[in-house]
Formats: sequence, C-alpha cells, structure tokens
Amino acid sequence: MQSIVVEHISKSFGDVQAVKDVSFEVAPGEIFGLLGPNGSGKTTSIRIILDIYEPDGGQVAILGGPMDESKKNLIGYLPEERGLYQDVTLEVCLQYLATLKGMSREEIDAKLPAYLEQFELSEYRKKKVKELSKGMQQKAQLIATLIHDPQVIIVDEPFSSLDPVNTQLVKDILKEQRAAGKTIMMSTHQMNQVEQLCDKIILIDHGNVLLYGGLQEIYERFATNQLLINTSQPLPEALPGVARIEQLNTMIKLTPEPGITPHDLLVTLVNQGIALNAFEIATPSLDEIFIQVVQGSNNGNGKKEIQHEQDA
Amino acid sequence: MNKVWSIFKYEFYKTVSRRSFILTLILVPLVPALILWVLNSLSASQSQALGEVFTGGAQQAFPYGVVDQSGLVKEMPDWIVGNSLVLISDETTARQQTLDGKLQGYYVVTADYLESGEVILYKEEINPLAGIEGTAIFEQLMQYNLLGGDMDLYLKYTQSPSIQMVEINPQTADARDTDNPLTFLVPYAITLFFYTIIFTSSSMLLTAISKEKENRVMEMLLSSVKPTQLFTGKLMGLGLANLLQMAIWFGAALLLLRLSGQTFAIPANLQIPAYVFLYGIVFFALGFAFYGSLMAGWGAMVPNLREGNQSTFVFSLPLLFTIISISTLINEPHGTLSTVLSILPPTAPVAMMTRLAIGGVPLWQVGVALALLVLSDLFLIRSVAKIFKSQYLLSGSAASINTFFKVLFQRQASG
Repeated sequence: MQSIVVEHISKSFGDVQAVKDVSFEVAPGEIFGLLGPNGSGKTTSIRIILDIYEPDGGQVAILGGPMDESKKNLIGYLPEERGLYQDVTLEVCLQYLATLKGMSREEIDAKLPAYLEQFELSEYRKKKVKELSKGMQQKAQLIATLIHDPQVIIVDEPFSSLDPVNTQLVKDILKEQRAAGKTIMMSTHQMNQVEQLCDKIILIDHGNVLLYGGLQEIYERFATNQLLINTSQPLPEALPGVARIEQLNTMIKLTPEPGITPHDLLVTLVNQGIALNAFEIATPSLDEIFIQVVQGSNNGNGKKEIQHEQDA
Repeated sequence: MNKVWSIFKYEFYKTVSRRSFILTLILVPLVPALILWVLNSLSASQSQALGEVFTGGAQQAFPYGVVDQSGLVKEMPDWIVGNSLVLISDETTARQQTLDGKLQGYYVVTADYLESGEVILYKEEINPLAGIEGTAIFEQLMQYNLLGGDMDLYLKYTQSPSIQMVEINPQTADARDTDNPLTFLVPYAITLFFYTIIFTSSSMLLTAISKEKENRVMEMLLSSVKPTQLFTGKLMGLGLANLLQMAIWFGAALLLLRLSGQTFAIPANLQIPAYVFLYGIVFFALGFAFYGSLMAGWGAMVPNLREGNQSTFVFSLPLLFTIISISTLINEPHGTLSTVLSILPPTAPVAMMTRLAIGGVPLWQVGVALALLVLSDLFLIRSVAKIFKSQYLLSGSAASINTFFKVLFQRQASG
C-alpha cells in the first residue's frame, strides 16, 4: 500500500494557479524528492497533502485514506519556514509541540532527553529558543519533526543552516528512518543530496509536473553517449567521430557525432595513441537534468514531457 | 478536544508565568493598598488636626482670649471652649497677655456685632493654618450664646437633620448623595477599569496570533491541529488568565473601597455590593470573548503585529464611545442612552457595569444584555473561525479592515 497518494490536485490563490493537476505516489521505505524551482508549487502541494490547504480539485490519501485527527499525529513535518516559540525555553517549546502530536507527558519525558543528546542540544534545553543559533534551532525543529515517531516524514529543505557534520547527521537519520520502513518526502534545492538520498523524484514548475519517476530510471532516460576522459597528454584539436571537445575542471568531455558509440570513441583514442588516466560514460547530473527540463518547459517544450510523465 | 486542552494549558501557563503578568497582577492592587495603609496609619495615630501637623501642637497649650464688647457672650461652657478660649475683660489686658506669651491672640467681639457681624482676631504673627481650630471653637461659642445659651437648642442647631429617603420607584430611583464626589468617582473608576481591562486583554490575542505568524511557528502548528482548535484553545487560555487577573484586581478594588470606607467614612450607598463582583466576572468574560474574537480574527489576517496594531482603534470605537458617554452614564444611569449602551453587545460589558455599580438596573435589562452578548459571542466565534483558515494564517500579505469585516459577515458556505 502506498503511504501517500496524490491524485490530480489543483489549487489557485486568486488569479494565480499554484498547482495544476499534480499526481504522484510515495511508498513506505522510500525517500521521495519533491523538486522544483522557487515558486513552482512545491510548498502548496505539501500543504495540501498535510490538509493545511484544501485543494480546489483532486484528492489526497494518506496512510490509506483522507487525513484525519489521528493521522496528523502520524506525520512529522519540517516546514521550509522554520519557526519555534522564541520566548520560551527549548525544552518547553519541544514539549508543547510534542503534545500537539498526541504524546503524553510520560512519553515526552522518556524520549526527549535522548533526542536532545543525539542533536547535542542537552545543555541548551533550559535556554530560551531565541538565544540559540540558527543551526541549533534547525536541529530543534528536526527533533519536533521526529520525536513522535511518525510514519510519514515530510521535510522541506532539511539541510539549510546545517554545517557538514550536522548535514551528515540528518542524512543518516533520514536513511535510518527509511530503513525502518518510514515514508519520507523531501523537498530541497540541493541536488547532490537528492542524488544521494532519493529513490524517486517529482519535478514541478509553475504548478505543472515536468518529471516523475525512479531516480535511476530518470538518469537512464536522460543519459547521453558523451564521454569523460582524463589524460596527461594534449588532445588534438579534432578527433574522428567527435563533434565537440570541452575542457572541464579535471576532465575532458567528448560529444560523439550521431551514430558513434562510446566504444567507437575509445577505439579512436587508443588508435591515436592517447594514454588515458580515466575513461567514463558521462551521466548527466540531476542539476543538469533539472535545468534542462525546467528550461525546456519555459521554452514550451515541457508540456510534452509532462504529459509523457503523467501517462507513464 | 485533547489538543484544544493542550493549547489552552500552554497559553494559560505561558501568560501567567510571564514576569510582567505576575508583577502587574501584584503591583496594581498593592500600590493603592499601600497608599491606603499609610493614610489609615496617619489617620489612626494622629488625633491632632491637620493644621497642627504644620503649626505644632504645643501652641494649643495657650488659649485665645475673648474680649466681648457686645455683651452677647454670657457663658463660656467647658464642653465647647475647653482650654482653647478664655474670657478677658478688656482689650488692653488681652493685648498684654498676648505680648507676654500667655495667650496665642484674642478675639474682639465688636459692640455692634449684631448689626455688623464683625469680630477682630489679634495675633502676634498671622499664620493662616494656625488659626483654623481656634476659629472653629470661637464660632461655636458665638452660635451657642446667640441661641441664648440653650444647650439642647444649640445641639439641634449644629446637628444636620436626619433625612430619610423614600424611593417612589425603588427600582429606578436615584438615591445617590450627589454632594459627595465619591458618588461619581466610583462608577467612573469602574467604567475606566472595564474599558481598560477588556481592551488590553483582548489585544493579547492579537499579539499572540501575530507573533506566531512572525515566529513562523504557525505552519508547524497547523500540521498538528486545526485552525479552529488553535483559536478555541487560545481564546480559552488567554481568557482564563485575564479573567484571573481581572477577578483579583476587581476584587482588590472592591475590598479597598470597603477598607477605605472605614477610614474615610464613605457612605454605605457608595459601597459596591458583592453581586456586582459576580456580574463583573460574567460581563468581563463575555466582553473578552467579543473583543478577543475580533482581535484574534484580525491577528490571523494581518502579516505582523505592527500592522495589526495600526488598526485596532477601529475595534475600540464602541468602547471609546462608552467612555465619551461616561457623563451621561453616571448622571442619567437609567436614561435612554445609558440603557441602550448597556444593552448593545459592543458597549454592554462596560456600560452595564457602570450602571450596575450605580445600582437600580432592572433585572430584565441585565438579562437582555447578557443574552445579546452571548448570541453575539457565538456569532463572532463562528465567524472568526472562518478567518482562522490556513490561507490567512500563512499569508504575509497586507490586510484591510474592510476585507476583515467583509469576511466576518460573509455567509459561511462550507461550514
């Protein structure tokens, strides 16, 4: 059974249509990436899923049905707009937010110290929230997201304001939660994190779905026959069967002419006597796919892609 | 319901544990209590007149002389003059004794007193305060002798007649002592008290909601609770905290009034009966629900507290009108304007309390005012719940009062 099923949701605010006919599914034990440029409709989609906004059309099923009071307690949410009560102590703030997730005082007392310890916030628990750094507040908010052991975790830009150590900590936690069978939906602009964590993604822009599917499947769909090589020798200006030669940071990217395979290029390089330190097929990064799809959409080429993906 | 309870508990605890709340809760009644205690102590420990505080009581050991040239002063009874006045045969002797320090001075009742009413007081030095008591005793002495030295007649003359008031319509008759300034001071104070406390406590809801929007904690809350649960919990939590504050302040004010009655001899008809305290709690609670709902709704719409505060005067207009009409309310508590103001829901919490403090409000008017307030509160709570939607709560856009009232009075389509 899918944990989140979104079917043809749409939402407008006045004349602005924030979400148009968006559909996707997220399964337990999966990290799902919700991607899109700023103002693309990601946050509105999340709010509809969480029943914060009522959709104009379409429907959402969470954990097998519509959202209700008890299901809210099974969802952990880290909003993009971080917010905690500033004038109370960290401990009081987290206790209150946990009670709103249906936890009893005893449960909170049993679990909160361990979380504070894990996020290295124990010594700050009696400090007012406003006295904590931005990164500490971010970690505190993550505790509020996870403390009630939610079945569905929705995190919006979970790595913002975190240093590399804490970024790794959060990544490890998300992986642990996935391994425990939790459903995780993550919205972020950090494509490298998506590449490392997500099993499936959806890319939306201007409320439209541009791309949807498994990460590996998407890589394969956007794969080219370009090659990345590293050599200590200078390359000739032109190579037979090579349309373009680009010098990257440490690598050289070769774009073959139509009908030329990577294997043909390798043979050409060897025949030219070029000593290779590295040779690999160039897979487009998610960043590149993102830019390609979004720019294609803005140039009017995206509509076909949407329809294709939605049909798929 | 559990979540409403959690929000209620949190809001109540957060409010009552705030240092500023505790300090104002204690200091507001404590300061007037201390002032009263000081005045009370002074009053109890000092039998001397106020004038003596400044002039020194020792001077009273020496009497004033009375030189009667009119022949009217036949008697100098001890129960009037004591050691304050002595009869001196002639002005020369009186002058000499004054210069010798045996007299503080002397009165000369002129020969044509009955025609001119003239009495001359001679003193070595003129101190306006020092003569106060001696003058009063001299006046009493003259009154006694003018009445022919008849003690009974004199006592009847000096005691005010005992007037028994009989109210033709006991429900509406104004039995107040219009000569006593406290008659007007007490209802005036009650009007201002209820205006201030209802408006300031309602404003706390605006602050609470706006701050949550500014702190960006709202989205976190809305992923856990429904907007209506948030509104209900806050209204109840802040309402109880302010009710507690109001009950303590109002109770202390009534207690102080009673204690001050012992010190300053406030007439019994100025003492506020206990039932007014109970009405006060009810009208405050209903008034808070009325204005608190409006403030909460407005807080939900505006992007921040600063913009919210800029327009709160609009909500205070009905209460301000009550303050403007305070003179009518106090002077004509049962007139048309006063009656209307005390029944209309926006003005009733203050205007009715003013009238109740004065007394004589027909029970049916209190009942109608309460019923209308309850109905208005129910309407407002339901209407504000419509505004307490995520679309407004998560919006950072500017809002106008016009839009607010438009949404408030819109018919609810989806319930």
